[in-house]
Amino acid sequence: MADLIFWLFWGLTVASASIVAFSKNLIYAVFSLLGTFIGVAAMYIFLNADFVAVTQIVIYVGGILVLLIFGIMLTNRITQTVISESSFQKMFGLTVVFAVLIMVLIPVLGHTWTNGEPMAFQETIHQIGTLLFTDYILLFEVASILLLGALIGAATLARKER
Amino acid sequence: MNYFKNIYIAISTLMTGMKLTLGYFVRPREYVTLQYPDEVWPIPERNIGTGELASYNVIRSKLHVDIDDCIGCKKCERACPVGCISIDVLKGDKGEDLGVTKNGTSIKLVVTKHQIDMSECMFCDLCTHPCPEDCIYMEADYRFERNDNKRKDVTVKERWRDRSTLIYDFAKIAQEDVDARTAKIEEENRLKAEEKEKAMAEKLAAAAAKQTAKADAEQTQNVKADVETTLFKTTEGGES
Amino acid sequence: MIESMANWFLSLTWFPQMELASVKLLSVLLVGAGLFAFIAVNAIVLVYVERKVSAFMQVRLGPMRVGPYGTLQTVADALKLLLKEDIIPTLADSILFRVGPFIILISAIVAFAAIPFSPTVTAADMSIGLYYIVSISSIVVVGIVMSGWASNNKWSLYGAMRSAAQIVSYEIPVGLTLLAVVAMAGSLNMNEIIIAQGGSSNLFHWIPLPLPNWYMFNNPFLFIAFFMYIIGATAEINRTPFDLPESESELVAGFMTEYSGIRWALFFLSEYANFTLVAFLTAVVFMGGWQSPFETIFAAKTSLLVLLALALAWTGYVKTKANRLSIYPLAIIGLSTIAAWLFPGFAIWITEPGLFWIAMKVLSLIFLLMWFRWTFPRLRVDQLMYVSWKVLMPIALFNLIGVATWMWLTGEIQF
Repeated sequence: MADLIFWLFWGLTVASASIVAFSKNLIYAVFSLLGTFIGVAAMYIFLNADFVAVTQIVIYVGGILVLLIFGIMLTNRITQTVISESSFQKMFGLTVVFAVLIMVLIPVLGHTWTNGEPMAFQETIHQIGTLLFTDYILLFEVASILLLGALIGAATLARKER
Repeated sequence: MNYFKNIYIAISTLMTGMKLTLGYFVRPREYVTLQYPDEVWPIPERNIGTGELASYNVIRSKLHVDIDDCIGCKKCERACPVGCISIDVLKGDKGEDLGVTKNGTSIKLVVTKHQIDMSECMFCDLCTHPCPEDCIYMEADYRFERNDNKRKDVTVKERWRDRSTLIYDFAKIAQEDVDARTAKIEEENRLKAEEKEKAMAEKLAAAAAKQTAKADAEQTQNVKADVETTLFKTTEGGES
Repeated sequence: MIESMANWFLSLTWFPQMELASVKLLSVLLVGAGLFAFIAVNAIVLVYVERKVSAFMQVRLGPMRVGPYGTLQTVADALKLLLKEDIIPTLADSILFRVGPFIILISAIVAFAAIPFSPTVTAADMSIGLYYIVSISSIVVVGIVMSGWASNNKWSLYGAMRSAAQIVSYEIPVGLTLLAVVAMAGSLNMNEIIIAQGGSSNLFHWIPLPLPNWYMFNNPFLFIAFFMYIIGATAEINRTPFDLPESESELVAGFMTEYSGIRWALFFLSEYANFTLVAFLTAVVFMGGWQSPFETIFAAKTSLLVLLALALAWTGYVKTKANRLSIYPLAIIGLSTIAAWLFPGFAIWITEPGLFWIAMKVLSLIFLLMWFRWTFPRLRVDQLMYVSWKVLMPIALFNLIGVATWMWLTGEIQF
């Protein structure tokens, strides 16, 4: 039964991702990103990573998706925007795609997968918190300084010159 | 410091507003709203004008007729610009006492119908002024509604179109009385008419005799004129 | 709750023998349907309550004609909305126009999964409950922008943009105030946050006024945080005085201008669902959730006596001031006091945690938010942003640091 739900979310993710990739309408592409993000969050939950799943929704849906929507809506003539569909250098593109596919497939097929017992669910948040503030404190601080820099930079750019 | 002062002012003013609304919330129900068909505002006195116009009734909501004072002069009917008043009167019997109005005028006519269609009335108040007895006037009663929502014999649309309840008939006289009076008057009229006919017939006979004598004398003259006109016409016709 | 429900199903004799997973799925569906029914009935009741509260605050009567005291008015309105024609404007984007309301409604319902209604009734007692609710409520923005854009109407688009900007801005101070509580509780689990607020203590631990040990009375910083959370949450659910996205006088109805009938009803449903969600969240995080405010039976009896004295004083005050009898508060508290002193069972019942207490807290918070709505005028857009970024944000950061300092001073954390 859990498999059924898994495949449902798999379908949601793949379908909405393909809309993002193939839709000629920019707005549909952006809004179907919602399905992709939620599907990916569900994947995280199937991997027992509840904190990461919820963070995925907060950051990607609450932050990045809204930012994308804003960006597109503040553009002039959203409805008339034509995405250039003329594909050029088809051979080269196909080669790259197949190369990447093979590169992914080699380890997947080469690995001997075992059908183990599903892991019992256990909360991850305490471990994440402890690790963030002990082993990875440097990375955490560097990331926060980076974000602070981005914030100040954005504020400087947006400021009106007097 | 201005920043903190702003926050303080914001919070204190919000608290003032909230206190006010809570006060209204817990106060006993001194509502302005009335549950209309169940409760109504008291209707003010008829004359609420002031000064020179103290007797002037400014509230014009419904026409009313004191039918006991009506002398059936039909002045209001003639004054009405939209013709919403219709009055029928009958003569009273000879020597019959029909009463006296409040102004002391003795009533001569029996008002058999005094109908006002309030759906056509435009509340112009023009009918009230010509009335010699001041018996037609505007009332302050504004309620024309009726509660016949439960009526099943007509469809809803018919019920909405039906304005029969807006037609007010003020005449109090009973239908039998009207019939009796009408019959009596018709009888009288018939007798009178017969007499008249008789008189007329005699007159006609006399006139006819006179006519024949005159006609003989005129005949020769007429022939002459006819010939002249025909001749005149033919010459004109030829030219054209 | 899902586990215990599935086990209960399997223990029934007439229940067909199924796999545990299937029974769990069935339980999940049942719980979801139950939540939806709760939200629908709740919206109908709250609309009636809101109309009555607004009427009383404006010296009116409110709905009176349908049913006794107009109690069936919202039922009639809901029926009317269900029967109304579903209009989709010709130039609207019909797919997004249809999907938008559902995204908003689903995000509102799904957030209820983590709400603890009582110690045993929690749809999903997850370890990251609070974070989950905060994250799910951010999906609403996408639905609002979707329906606003799909309407192909400048007012709708304005409303959607305002709403998105507003929700995104106010998520930050709200998140920071909640973070202060999470730091105190040391957990994101809703039930653990509630359990941490059990018992009673003095106000701020040192002012000798015995109060329940709720986080809003725990220290001065959290006391401020409580009000800040209420302000931020009001803005996040787009209620007056922060109802710029749907301001009637400027934007007709904002992002729901073009909607009618059942789709408009979905908007209304999700609005009231979010409203209730915020009240529940406040009750859980700051007011001890399903915990009873009285720790012991003695405390309950004494507190009721104190309340009775207060009610008597109120009645006397009203009698002298306005020369009328205000009987209801006195009657309710008096009856409860007598019941608590005469029947030990009643006293035990009011000291036990459960659905009753969270319902009382949620109802009073809902009344507070309605009170806000019918008192305050709407903010201007620049004022809205000012309040969020220049007032709430600095105070929230200050509060966070203050809470940490308080915890260090009282010895709750050691370095």
